Formats: sequence, C-alpha cells, structure tokens
Amino acid sequence: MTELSAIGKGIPRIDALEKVTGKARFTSDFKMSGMLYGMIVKSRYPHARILRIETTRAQRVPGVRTIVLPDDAPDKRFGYGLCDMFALPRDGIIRCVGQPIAVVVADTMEITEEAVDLVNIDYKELPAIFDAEEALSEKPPVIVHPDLRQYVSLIFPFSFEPDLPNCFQHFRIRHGDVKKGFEQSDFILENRYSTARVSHCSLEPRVVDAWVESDGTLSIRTSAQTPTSTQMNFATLFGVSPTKVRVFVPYVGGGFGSKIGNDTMLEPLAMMAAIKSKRPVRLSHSRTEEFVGGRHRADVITYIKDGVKRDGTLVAREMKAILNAGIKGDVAHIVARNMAFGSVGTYRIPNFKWDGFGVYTNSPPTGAFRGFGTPEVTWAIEQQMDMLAEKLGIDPVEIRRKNLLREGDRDVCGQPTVAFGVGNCLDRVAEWIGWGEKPVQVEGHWKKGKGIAVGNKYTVSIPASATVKVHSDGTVEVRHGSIEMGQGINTVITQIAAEEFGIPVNCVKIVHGDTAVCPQDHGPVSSRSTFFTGNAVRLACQDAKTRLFDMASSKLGISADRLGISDGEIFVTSEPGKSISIGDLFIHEIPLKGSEVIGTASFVIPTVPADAQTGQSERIVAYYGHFAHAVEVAVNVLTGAVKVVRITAAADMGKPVNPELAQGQMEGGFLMGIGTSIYEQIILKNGVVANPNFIDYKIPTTLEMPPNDNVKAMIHPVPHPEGPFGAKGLGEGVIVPIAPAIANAVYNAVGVRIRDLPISAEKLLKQLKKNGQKEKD
Amino acid sequence: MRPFQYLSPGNLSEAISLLAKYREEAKVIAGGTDLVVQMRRGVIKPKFVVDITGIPGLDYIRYDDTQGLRIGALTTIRVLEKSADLWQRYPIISQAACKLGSAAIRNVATVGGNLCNAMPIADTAQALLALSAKVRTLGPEGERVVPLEDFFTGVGKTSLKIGELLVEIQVPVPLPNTRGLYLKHLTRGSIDLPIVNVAVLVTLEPEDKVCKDIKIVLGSVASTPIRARKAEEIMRGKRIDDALIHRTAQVASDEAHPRPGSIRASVEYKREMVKVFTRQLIQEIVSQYN
Amino acid sequence: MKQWLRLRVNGEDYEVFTEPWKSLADVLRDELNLTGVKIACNEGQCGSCTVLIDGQSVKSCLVLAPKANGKEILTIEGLAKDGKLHPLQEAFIKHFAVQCGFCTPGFILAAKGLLDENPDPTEEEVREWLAGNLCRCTGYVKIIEAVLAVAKGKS
Repeated sequence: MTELSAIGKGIPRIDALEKVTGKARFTSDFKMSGMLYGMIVKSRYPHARILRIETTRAQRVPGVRTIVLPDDAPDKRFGYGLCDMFALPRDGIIRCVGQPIAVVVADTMEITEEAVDLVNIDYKELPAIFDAEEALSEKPPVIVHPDLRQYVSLIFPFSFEPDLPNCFQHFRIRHGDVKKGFEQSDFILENRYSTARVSHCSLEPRVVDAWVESDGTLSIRTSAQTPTSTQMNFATLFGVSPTKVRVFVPYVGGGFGSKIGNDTMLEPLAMMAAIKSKRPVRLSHSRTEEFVGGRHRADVITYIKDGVKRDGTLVAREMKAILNAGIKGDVAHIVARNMAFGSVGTYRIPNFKWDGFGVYTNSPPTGAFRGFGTPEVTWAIEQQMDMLAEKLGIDPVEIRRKNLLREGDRDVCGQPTVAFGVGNCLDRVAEWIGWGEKPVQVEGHWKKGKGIAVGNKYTVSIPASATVKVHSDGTVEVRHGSIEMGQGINTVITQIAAEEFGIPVNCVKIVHGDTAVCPQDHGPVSSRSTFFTGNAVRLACQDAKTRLFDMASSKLGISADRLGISDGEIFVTSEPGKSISIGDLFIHEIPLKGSEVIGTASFVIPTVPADAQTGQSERIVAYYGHFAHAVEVAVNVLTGAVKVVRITAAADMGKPVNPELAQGQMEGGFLMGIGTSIYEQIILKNGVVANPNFIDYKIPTTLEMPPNDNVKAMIHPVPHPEGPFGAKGLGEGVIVPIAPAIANAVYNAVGVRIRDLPISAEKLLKQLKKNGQKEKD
Repeated sequence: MRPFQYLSPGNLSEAISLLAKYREEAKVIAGGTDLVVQMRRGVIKPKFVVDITGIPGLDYIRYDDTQGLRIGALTTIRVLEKSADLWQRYPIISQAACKLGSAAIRNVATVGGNLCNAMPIADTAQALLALSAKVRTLGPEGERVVPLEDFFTGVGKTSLKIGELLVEIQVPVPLPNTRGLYLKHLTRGSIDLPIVNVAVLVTLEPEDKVCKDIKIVLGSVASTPIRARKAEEIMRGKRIDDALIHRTAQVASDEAHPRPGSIRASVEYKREMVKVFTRQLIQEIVSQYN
Repeated sequence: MKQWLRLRVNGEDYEVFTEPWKSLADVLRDELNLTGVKIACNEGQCGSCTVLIDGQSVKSCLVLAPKANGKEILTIEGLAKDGKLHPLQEAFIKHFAVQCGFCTPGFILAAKGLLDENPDPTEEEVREWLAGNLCRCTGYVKIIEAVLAVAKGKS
C-alpha cells in the first residue's frame, strides 16, 4: 500500500493562524449597518396561562422599534424532529420558566433591556410537574402537552404511549427472552441510577443576526450546528421555499450539541423580529440566558437488572430509561430513542429488553449534549459491570473482556458488529493505569483508587454531499456543508482533498458555512462529519479527477485508467515523465469541453428502520466507535472532594485522519467528562435555574485536570471498511465512559458507590460518614 | 447596564462631597470587579458612579514597629500578594490575597473594595479580622477609626455613613510568637466562591504549648464574617493538645449559622467543613512552632 | 452621556466618544473593530476578554470604558509584529492548543502576562495563573504545553 502523504499526519490546523491572531470571525464579530438589538421577554412561571400582555409603557421608550408578540408567531407547530411548539406561545400557555413570550427590539441593548422590564404580563398560574417518574404515570397530576396525539415527527414515526399522557417517545428493543434468562442466571443484580442536568457551556453564547435581503430572501448569520434544518424549518414557518432562506455560519465557538436545533430557539424569533421591524436584528443570549434557555442535557433515570452466570457471563439484561425532556420534545425525542444504543454497541447479551421513554415536564428544554444519551446509559451499565465483578470475585477488566461482542456478532438490535476495537483499547488503558497494582497512597486523609470503564458511541446515518472545484492554478476548492466548531472538520477535509489530489495542504481551499453555496449536509451531529462529510468530499474529489483524467486522456492519448495525479500534474502512471499540468489543461482542453472542472458526490449509508416492537434492524446506525477509559482518583475523606490524578483513554475511532486533532478531542473530552461527573449540575428549584452563571455552575479550570504527564490519550484504530481512509468519528465517544470510570475509582478508593450524578463532595461525605457509622456499630 | 453619570474626583474632599451630594444614588467604584457584575445583573442601579482610583496617595503598604501596618484602601490585591514585606510580617494577609479570584482580577481589585463590598466570603476580611484590624474612614463629618469587626453589618452592608469613604486599614503589631493561616474551601481548585473560609491566628508559648491568644474567623457561614468566640474561649490560656483542638473545632462549627437553602452547600456540610478546617489550621499552625 | 477617551491600543493612539457604561471590551470590539477580544460571560469569570493594560492582564469586560482613559492596551491583534508571530502564537499553533478558538486570544494574553512577570514558571504556576481562563474544548493539556514550551525556549 502506498504511503499516504496527508492522511494520518498531524498537520497544524488550517484555521489556527486566524484564531491565534484574533482574525477568525464568529457571528457576533460581524457588524451590519442599521442593526437593531433584540431581547426576549421570558416567562416567570413554570406553568401558566397568559391572561394579558401589556406593552404600552415599553413601546413608549425612545428607541424601541418593535415588539414581537405571540400572535405574530406563525400558526404552525414546528421543531427539530418532533413538531411540538409554536415559535411564541400562540396557544397562550407557558410551560416552563424562561420560555420566550415576546421579543423587544430597539436601537441599543440598553434601551432594549429597559423596555423589557416595562413589559407587563398577567398570568394565571397552573400546577406544574418536574419529576420525570411522576410525569410518566398513567394519571399524572399535570399534562404538559394535552395535544400530544396530534403532533408530527419529521424524523421517525411518532412513537408515543397512548396510556401515558406525558410520554412522547417510547423505544423498545426485544432480543431473546429475559424472563428465561433470569431464571438461568446464577446471580441477579438490580439497581437504579440517575444522571444530572448539565449545560454545554460553549464559550461562544448563541447569537443570531437576521435580515431580509432586498430580493426577499430570509437571511441569518448564526452560531449553529444544523443550518439546513433551519432552512427547512424557516420554509415551513414562514411559508417560503427553502431556496428563499439563506443561512450563514462562520466559525462557531463550541457546539457540543448545544447548537443542534437552534432553528427552534433564537433563530425564528430573530427572523420574526427582522420581518416585523424591517431592519436587521441581532438576538443573542447572555451567559445567564445560555444557562437558562440554552437547552441542557436531560437527566435520565436508568433501571437496570442483570442476570449472570457464576463465571461472569451475562445471560440477561433488562433496562428501563426515563429521559426528563422538559417542555420540548423536539431534539429530546431523538435522544430518548437513541440513548438505547449505548446499551447495544459493546456487550454480547443473549437476552435483552430495553424500554426507553421520553417524558415532558415543566422544566426548561433539553436537547443534544455530547454523547446524545449514551453517557447517561453507560453511567449505569459500567457501574453494574464493576458491581457484578465484585460480587463474583472476578477482575473488572476480565468480566468486561468476557462479555464483549466479537467481530461479526450480531448485537441485541440485530446489527452485525464491524471494526470492533474496544478489547485492545481496554488492554492499553489497563496497562497505562497499572491495573492490578494498588495505587500509591499518600498522606492520611486522601485515599486513592483506580477505576475502568468502556463504552461506545453510535453514529447515525445522515447523507452528506460535497462539491470540489479544480482551479487553473491547481488549487482544489472544496465546498462542504458541515460546520467548523473546533472539532477540526475543515482541516480533516483539507487533508482528504490533499491526499486525493497529491497536493500540499495549502493548495486546498475550503468553502463552508453558507447554505446558498454549500451542499446539503445537515451538519456536525452524531460524530458523523469525518465519516460522512469526509467520504462525500473524497468521492467528489474522485468525480473531479475523473473529469480531469477524461480531458487529459484525449490530450495525452492515453486511456484515463492509466493516469494518476500529483502536485498539479496529471501523469501516466507507468511513465511519470509523460504528463500535462492542470494549468495547461485549462488553457488547451478545458475551454473546449466546458470552462469548469467540478466534481460532486453524495455519500449515503442506507439504514433499515427499526422494528417498532423489537427495535431489530440489519443496520440501525452507520457505525459504532469504541472507547475505554481508566482513571486514578484521590478522595479526601474529610471533605468528600474527588480529584482525578491520572486519566487515560484509548479510542477505536478507525484510522484517524489527523491524530493530533483526535488527541485534542480526547483531552477535551476528559475535561468535560470530569466536569460533568464531579462538579457540574444545573440546579432547578421549582423549575427555576438557580445557578445560571459560571460562579455557581462550575466547569473545570486548569486546576481540575491532572498534570500533563498524568494525562494520556491513545488511539488504537481498527480501520472501518467504509470510512474515508478507514476513519470513524470520536467527538462524543471520548466522554462516554468517564463518569462510571470515576465512580468505579471512587468505590475502589473509599468503598462508596454513588449512583446519582454528580459525585459531589457533599454527597460523598454523607455516604462516607454513614459507612463509618456502620463500621462503628 | 443602566445609564449612569461617571464622575472621577481628583482628591478625597471632592469625592466625599460628591458622595454626600448624591447619597443613595451614588456608588463608589475602585477596581470594579464586584461592582460591574452587580450593575450588569441589575442588582444595583446607581445614577452616579464615583471612581476614586484617580485619587492619589491611597495606594501604600507601610509598617513600623510601634504603629504596625497601614494599608491604603486603593492598594490592589496583587500588590498585597507580591509584597515580600507582607509575606514576612503578616503572611496571613498574603495568603488571603493570593487566593482571591484569579491573577487578572487581583491586578485591579482593591483591598478597600473587597472590604466595602462586604460579602461574608471576602478573603481579605477574614485575615484582617483575625489580626484585629481597624479601618479609618473619612467623611463630611471628619475621620473615624472603627474596628473591622464593627464595620460589617450585614450581607453587602457596612457601617459607612453617607458620604464616607474607607481610606486606610490599620493592623496592630502582632504579639510575639503569633502565627496565622488562611484557608478557603472550594469546590474547584481556585476561582470559586468558597464553601467556607477560615482564618486562624494563634499566639503560642513555644516551650509549654500554652495558647496565649487565638482568633478564629469564619467566612461564608453568616451574614458577615464572624469570630468564633466561644471556640476561642475554649482554647485561650490552655495547653494545646489534640483533644483540645478537636473540641475547639467542634464549638467553632456550632457557632457557624449558615443560611439554609444555599445552592453551594447545605448547612450540615458547611458546619462540618468549619470543623474540619478549624482543626486542620490549628494543627498546622502548632506544627509550625516545632 | 458620552464622553471622550484617549487610549493607546496596540501602539496606536485613539480618541473614542462613548458612554461610560460600556466596558473596555465593548469599546475595543465595537469602536475599534478589534473583535479578537471576545465576550463569553461578561462577568469576569471566563477570561476570554483578557487584554493587557499597562502590561498587566485584566478582564476587559469588567473595566468601565472611562477607566481605560490614558492607558496602554494590548490586544491579540497587537501581538504579532511586522507580520512575525509572537512565540506564544506560534506555540499555540504548533502544539495544537487551539480548537474552536473563542478562548484563544484571552489565553494567549493571559499567558503573556504570566511570562512577562515570571519567564520560567513551573507547570503548577502556569495552571494557577491560567485558572482564571476557561476552555471547554481542549482540556487545557496543549495550552499548558504551549506556554511551557515558550518559557523553556526563552530560558
């Protein structure tokens, strides 16, 4: 196999220079003349009927240009996925604290803020419901969406439960017979776990600039991950063709899923404001508004019952997961379905039963958060595995090895297992962390422990398209529809194109972030960009090359299949001296055949819809990535504080296009994993976010990561046959096993198992004292 | 942020007359690291912001063997942190200073501002209270010197009268054989607002380990920083041993009365941390004498 | 009521007419078009707005505009000289210390503030100093690596 020139190389990011010089522009760095500033009037109650909205005093403030009211909202329910909300509450019902009711637009932010305070709303408070299990009952005290039955889903057949009025999603997997399986088991273990609501805290808060172009095109510039979804939703909402909607997305300052489905949040409000005021309008979130209305990761309750043989073999597993979506089902109804796959992609389980529910409550909306349900479910599974190991006297690494799927096995959904590298990943992290050696203990009140966990992350199949244009100077221009939000997709695409054409990376130009110019892609979701966008780019390159070869073949008098390309030259592979430069082709051949060289391609992986009753499908996801993590923690037995002192992960994400970027994703994932395991929690008090700022919602700083020498990100790739040059994705998988690895390490250190995230100091200390009490008694 | 008129007096009397004139409608700004956040959140909406950082002569650290320490109110936390003199003579102040926020905050935040903001968590307040500091204020009716203990009257409230400015902090010469430690218990490693913060100052006869004097100051467990007086009583005048330290810490914990319903930590946890850290600090101080 | 400010930014003198309730970050971004100064929290917690004022690192979102009068300010745009990148900028590129890039200018300036005062910090000191800057993408690993690489290069 020939040596690759660009793939597999850690070349510097192509946008790094712009970013270190401050030249890289994000949405709020653009200025539009005549721009107005909008601010949302938000609900104060978790559940209420709006009786009256009084805006006279607000409108009288000099500089206020317009106020967008619920009646201005299109009379259509819409959503990213499940269409369950109006853009503003036309139905007069408020369902959560912070829900947008109106938008005030004025010349400056100061005027807007003043006017927002003068909008007077009379409410009739209604009883509210916050607890997911209470909401999931057959006769809940509050029904959040009484019209649920009439809602439409754009993505799946809408699968709610007729007997459960707050349930908008029920996904099932049935494989084998769990009842029989439990009867055959030597030991059964049953537990309940829960994860906390957390916030993405992307450094760039959401912002949208909206305007109507002179030709009537509804245009926005936005910090978003899914611009084509915006196009579709705007088309529906505003009754225009999608081609009359243009979405610009410059660099995005962090997504992590928070900006999936922006089109159901700020974007339509900004557009309505621009239409009503007839001026460009900027609508942005302050950091507080990001915390309140920015869509959190939903808390998930997982019940898990395992049956094993004495030798540690899993015989049966039954799981029930309940996702507390808050008021919006739109992204959540996908998370509530797909979280199942966290329980599918890793272990061989002869008898398996899964029921996953998505339920409405009067809490702020939730959405996509790095991992899309898989970390929440893995939190339960990977602690179970450790507990089973302890009960049976088996090493935790061994019990996992014993139960892993093998290449070719069908998983519990019926999909064949392909490119499955977690076994090797497990070996590598076990070795690095020194599994089997007790941690070196230090001074009295810090106790150390080690923990391990594995996980997977599926990628759904959403097609991507790409266009490649070859210029006369040999530059290759790639147009793709993904979004650069830090994950490095532009660099990866550059490397793929450079490899295909045999050119240096600085001869590749990337065009991105404009729906009028870029092909359909849907955007960076589900860790799909390298695989789908990358493959589309690769195929588009090949399409462009075919056209070049056709033209060169007539010029050189050699059949196209005997030609190769490198460094701007098309040459005969058996006689490299016989060649023609792209420049010459442009002079001599291309004007005769048509003046451009453009290649286009789409990349599609057909999947099979899951059976509604059993979740079975020959191919339900495009692929799985696999991950193993190991951590060493120190627990302070006087304060309950947990510190991660060593952390490692090995990722099977196929063959990385850029190993440095992959490593960077893993290190960032460590940090987000540590944060969401130990420090982070959105605290809700009667539906109000009580900690909507960086002071009280604590994301990790430099001091929460172990010293650099104690952090190790490893890649153990198993090339995927369908990935571009064997690559898969890893953006989300890197966070999946961290929380249970830490919980397992804490247990190893002090004998306390925390089943409800976060593993906070106070929670841990309480448990430590209880245990201490038990020892004394 | 609401519109306001920005005033920058060039001397103390100008500042005082502005404050006396605009009364409750005016707010003093020094470094601004607390004030700007509160203004932006709409917690306070002053019509006049009086910037005193243009006033010369309020930025100093002076020491002499009889008067003790004098710190100008506009001295930045960073200057306190970097003062080698202070590390040598009053290390507990330096410890508190270097724990305040992050370096970029300490570069502009002032010790006067930290005190006048009067949050029960204020780092410098704990250390200065343990040292029995006083504050000198200047107002339309002249100068006052007030013990720092009497300066804090509630969350965000001080005994400053209308038109008064805090201009100087005065710290007496400590007794010989006095050592102190300041500790801030945080959720994360650094920039958090603390769960509890504790300052302990011990004067110990090294030969017989008798505690001549002790000050225990607790932050974040009441509406102002408080002295754990009952705990101090337990230890004062006695020979320090482990059992005494444990008892003292327990009493200090009982004296803490944190507000229930705080999202940062429960009452029980805060009390437990007071106990843990009071004990730890006393033990550490005692071991320093060996 | 707007008032005049005189500032020296990245070696150039400016006169800006602005309201006193604007922050220095607002002025730099909106009046002087120095959009490399980022606002991510506007409460002085995340450090994305870090600039150097008279050589000291400061969170510019907490500085009311009039307080910057007469000061010398350095933003990310002023770091490279005659097209030559500052060693920190080069190191951030070389060591992959950049992902989404939103926190990057703040980190680079905060790091410059550190190295100007303490040219040879330990890893611990670098972490302590940079604890006032938040990043959600990188895990800080490569940021610390880049800063230490520059420090070692100097010493």
